[in-house]
Amino acid sequence: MRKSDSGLSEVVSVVMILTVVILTIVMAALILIPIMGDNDERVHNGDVLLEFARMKADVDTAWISNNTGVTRQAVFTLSPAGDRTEVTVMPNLFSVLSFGGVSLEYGDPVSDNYTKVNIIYTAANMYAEDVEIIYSGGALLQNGDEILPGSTKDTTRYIVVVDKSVVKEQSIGGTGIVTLEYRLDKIVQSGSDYLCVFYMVIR
Amino acid sequence: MMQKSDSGLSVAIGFIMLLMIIALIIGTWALVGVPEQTRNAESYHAIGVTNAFLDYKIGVDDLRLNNQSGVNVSMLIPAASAYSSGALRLSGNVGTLSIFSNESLLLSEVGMSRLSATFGTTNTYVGYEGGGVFRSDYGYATWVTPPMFELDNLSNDLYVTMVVPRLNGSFFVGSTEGIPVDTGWKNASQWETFSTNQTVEIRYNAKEEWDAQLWYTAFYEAVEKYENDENAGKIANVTCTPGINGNTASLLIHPVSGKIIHIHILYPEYDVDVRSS
Repeated sequence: MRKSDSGLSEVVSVVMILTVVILTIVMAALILIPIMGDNDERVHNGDVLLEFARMKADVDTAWISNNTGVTRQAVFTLSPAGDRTEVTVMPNLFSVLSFGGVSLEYGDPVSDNYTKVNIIYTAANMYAEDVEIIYSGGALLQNGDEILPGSTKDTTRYIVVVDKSVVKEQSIGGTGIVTLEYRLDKIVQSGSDYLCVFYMVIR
Repeated sequence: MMQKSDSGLSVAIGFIMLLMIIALIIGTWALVGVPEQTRNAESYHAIGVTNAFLDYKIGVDDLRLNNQSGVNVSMLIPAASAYSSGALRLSGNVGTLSIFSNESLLLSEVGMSRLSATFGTTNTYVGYEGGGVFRSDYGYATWVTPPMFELDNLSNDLYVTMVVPRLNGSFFVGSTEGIPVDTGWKNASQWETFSTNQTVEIRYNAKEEWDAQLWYTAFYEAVEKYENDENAGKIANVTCTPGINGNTASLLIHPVSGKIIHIHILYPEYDVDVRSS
């Protein structure tokens, strides 16, 4: 009787290899990529908060030392694609799907010319929680929770403000980076508060 | 007729070889690529923590220099990274500073405060101590920016100036995120004295050996800076010798004749606390 090896035929092998390849791709799409994406976006959420915290500390330093006329910069990464702290199998190939935006807005008015400045980062994540980080007149908030307070001295508040006739509201979105340029122009007294008047622009 | 055999090229063997190559690639990536990428990310994180402490130093120095008592500097110290949690510690007494004049005590055991972060393994510290920022890895420490300790030649007298910040508070908090720290400057007190024709020894007795090494470096660098100052120059007949013995770093200042050594120490006092939010 002739021995048959039809169970090892090329057609069956090709079908098996294709099945394994498809199974691998499906597993990656369903499990691996969402896990990686979630991780990338969580790390990025934390990194943007730290970028805002550094900016807040630097703005505080500027008015504490009355350092007028010196332009400083802060950089915010809008998406994990612009971030350098993640470990990725396929670096940032899928993370570019998420993006974010930074806007410079007027907050509560504190006098005729001056208004509190709000710098707002809004994430549009694919996998992780969307966060909103707000720098508002000296305080730092994330999703409405105060992370770092504004500066006070007894009942006196030091409020970071902009002159509405000089600083315009702006908004920039995307996946790259946004640069905030800021400069302390002067510190003026308003009632019991001190207004730290900054020139600000985002690019 | 003899049948031609191609069993060496069987599909089964080819398939197994393909699988082996894929396994080899995945194995190499897991063993080499992932640790390397993680190391890079951790190095980047360590630089971030160091930068945060440099910002902290600038912030608290500015409070003191601008007389801003009652105002807090609030900062987020990124002790944790994406791969490991971190901890922030405020220790009120990591070493003691004493000053002797011909073996008699001029200044007795002033405690040194330290705010430090540790992350990943607990063998790496970045911290603020004596007005400087340091980094310590596996028992080897170095100043990122030196403490406020200076030797100056003013009118041929030697002036020793030192700022020893006192950080009030005590905490050791761990977190998987950034740790918010509030620091407010309270006041600054000053201690000064002078010594004529007597050997002065500034002694720092650390709890850990790497900390003593760190202060030995600070003394050594201060002496180098003073002796190589092109404007004022070195004072003749005064020798400055840094030394280290176990957990004690010291600076011996030996005047030969008729020389006055002035010592000024400033103690700025700060209240430091972590925010619960």
